[in-house]
Amino acid sequence: MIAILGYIAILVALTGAVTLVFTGIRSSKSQAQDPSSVRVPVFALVGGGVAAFVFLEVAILTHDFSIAYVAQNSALKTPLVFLFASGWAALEGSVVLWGVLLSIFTWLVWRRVWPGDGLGLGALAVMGAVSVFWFGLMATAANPFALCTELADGFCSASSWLPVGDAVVAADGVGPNPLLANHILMAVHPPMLYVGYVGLTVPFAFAIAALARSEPGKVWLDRTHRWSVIAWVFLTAGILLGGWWSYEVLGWGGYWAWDPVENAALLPWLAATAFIHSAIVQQRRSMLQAWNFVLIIATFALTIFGTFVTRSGVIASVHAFSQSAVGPALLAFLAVVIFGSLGLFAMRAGTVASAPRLDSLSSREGFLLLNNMLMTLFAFTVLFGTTFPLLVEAFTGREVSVGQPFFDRVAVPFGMILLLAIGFGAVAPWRVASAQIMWERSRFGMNAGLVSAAVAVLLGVRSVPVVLVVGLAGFVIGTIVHLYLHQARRARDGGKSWPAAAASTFGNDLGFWGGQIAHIGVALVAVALATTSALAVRSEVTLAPGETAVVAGYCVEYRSAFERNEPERLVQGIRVAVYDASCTSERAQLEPRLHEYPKFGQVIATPDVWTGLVDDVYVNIAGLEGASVRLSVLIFPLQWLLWFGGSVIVAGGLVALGRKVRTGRTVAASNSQVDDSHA
Amino acid sequence: MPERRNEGEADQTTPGVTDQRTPLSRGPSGLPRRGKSGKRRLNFFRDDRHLSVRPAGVAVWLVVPAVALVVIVVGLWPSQSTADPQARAHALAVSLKCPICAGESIAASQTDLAEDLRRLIAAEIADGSSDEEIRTLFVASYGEQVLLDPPAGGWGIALWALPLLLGVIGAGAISRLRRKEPAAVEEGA
Repeated sequence: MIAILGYIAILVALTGAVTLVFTGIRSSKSQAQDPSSVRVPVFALVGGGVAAFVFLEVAILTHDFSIAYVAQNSALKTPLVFLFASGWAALEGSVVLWGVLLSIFTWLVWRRVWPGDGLGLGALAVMGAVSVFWFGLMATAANPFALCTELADGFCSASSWLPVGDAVVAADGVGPNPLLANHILMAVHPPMLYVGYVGLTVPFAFAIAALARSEPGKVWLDRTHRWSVIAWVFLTAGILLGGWWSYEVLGWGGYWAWDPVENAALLPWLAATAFIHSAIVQQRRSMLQAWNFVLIIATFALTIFGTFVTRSGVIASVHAFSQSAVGPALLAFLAVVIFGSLGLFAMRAGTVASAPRLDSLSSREGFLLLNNMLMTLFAFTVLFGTTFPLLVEAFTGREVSVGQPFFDRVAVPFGMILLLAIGFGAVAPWRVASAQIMWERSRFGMNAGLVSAAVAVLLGVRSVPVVLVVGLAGFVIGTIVHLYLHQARRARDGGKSWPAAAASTFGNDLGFWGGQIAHIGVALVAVALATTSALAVRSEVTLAPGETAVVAGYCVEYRSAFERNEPERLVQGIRVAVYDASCTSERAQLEPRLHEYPKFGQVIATPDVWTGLVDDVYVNIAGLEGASVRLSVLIFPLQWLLWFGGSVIVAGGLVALGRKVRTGRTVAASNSQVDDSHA
Repeated sequence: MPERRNEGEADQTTPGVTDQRTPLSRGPSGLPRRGKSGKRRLNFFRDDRHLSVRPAGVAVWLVVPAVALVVIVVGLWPSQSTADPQARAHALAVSLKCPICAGESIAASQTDLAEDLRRLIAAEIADGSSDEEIRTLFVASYGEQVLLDPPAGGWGIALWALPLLLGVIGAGAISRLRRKEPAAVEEGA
């Protein structure tokens, strides 16, 4: 029953999407350009999308094992939060999540379209077209409501994607993949990434509509600025949470391994970051018009590419949790997006080119250009490195691999130049900055950088790259803080009290200061990346109960073992005390565990971490040998700074949302006394 | 360090500096925005007594960076002679693919095989093998695809050459963005 209702909801949304494409195009070309003409399709799309999602969740929560997806990805004893997360843990569910988010974004965009807003109606038509693909996928190859028609070894398979026929109802479902049901972050990380991916559809849709209507200029950028930043914030947070999940779950202390799927999430982030920066250049200096179109098209294409890599399994990866016929469909859609958008762009190339008007490379726009160059070049290198094994195998038949060492080596110089550009860019004026001006504005930061590097050396850091990164980060943070204090002091000299001066300096340009906060976060993350990779200590010790071992200034003691039964898994753990180096004052008791999932025949080692002021002590069970245990003890200096710095980046993005941009609606509203009650 | 001067002079003595305001102080019309009080906002760093270098400050500005530099150079001078074996083993494990895993390195994988291979690396290092010898050993057993770090020769060159080439093209494109004629002093952007 739920299966049929859910399928009908998908069809309603699909119909809405198809209608939206046609009515959107028609009314965007019409005289009235009336947003109420697309109200019904938009409501059908969002209503159907939300209903499909709700029906899927209801089916999972009520354990309707006649539906193959439910039987495959949830079980009676699955804890509630993972039961809920099962709604998007596998392929079909993630397509539903994508669809429902896209339909909600479409609805939100529609609410901001006013009569006479042809650009907005055109953008809605583009979002409708993207929705047609996702809901079309849901209605066919990736139908989450397909019935379980065959049951073998407890695993369901569906003979048809239509939810009709005789279903075999299993007594219990298989349950979610143990790796995915091992940590609460898995319930949060994918939706975050998806909001980011889907959010980037909005600027893409406006760009395509602007191109199709031959309406270049910066209107589409002004109107989508907030959407882009929101999407970017979610993408950033999603990637960060993914790294955190990996650190907490995977047992080797890594948060980033340059795995193809990780790269696939990084690529749209890099392109979106470049886009946010180059949009500012166009908004302020009317440059880079064509480039912004190219960047947003690339960004959107990379989100589809990312989904394709994750879902097709074409590049072997630990993350490719599902594989199916959806791969070719995604590839075809990717081709349509790339060739369609670039074709349209080529047709309009004459109207979108902007005059060369860069006065000097030493200027705010010069440093923003440097950022764009670094981001896109780095994105290309990551894309090329990720697909390189495929290309080599296709052309020569040789099997090769490209992994972490290559990407690390490329990322380090890119990151260092980027930090320099961030610091100088913050204080460079628009148009032209003389060497004198740059020196005066950045010398405080340079000194701060030198001093921070010296302090790092005095604290005992002997790794050249780490000292270098600390120096660059000190330069960035010093420059930005100095700039802020300086402007605040000037506002105070203008007759304000200190707090009022500090607040008004900040409040007068939330876009700028939000960006600078994010830049401080980037500097902190850079330091954490350097310390946790170059200064980590890794050790393996074998301990009998009561024995201790000292690792890099910490003493660990094996206290006792424990066992317990949890739903769907058997937990074998040990209690480990962490002391200071002399084994006298106790810091924490950790409980690293082995989780055995009998249904999957899988044992997952689950580490436990103590976070001190400086170091993380990361303890994982490498093996149980009779009464004694082999423990891997890893020390990661300043690991917390990675999560903290990442949060600062996200906070900076949120602050930047406060930036005031004239979107055209205010103009339209004041000109024609428009009644926007349709919203 | 530059000699003491104030910013008002700098403006006049630096031709070509046409806009030294923060992004904030310029409204969309290109005109300076006005604050709520209606007063024109002060230009960034102009008539600024706080940034100007006071005589007592000169010593600080010279001494602090000099001392910092000395500390850094002296502290880092004896460069790390021999890497610690566990760090070496980890670096090697990161650069070798786990042969039975999907895209995981030996360092990252939790499989028994990866565990054995990590021990093998540690044992080889203890025996005095060089990194290159250990890599060769792995290639002999598992083929070329075990290397996550592509060799710099042969096809591996493309991996480096293409991004470099694009970087050069990009730099060329940016330099073409530069205005041909000298900038007009006032431009209603």
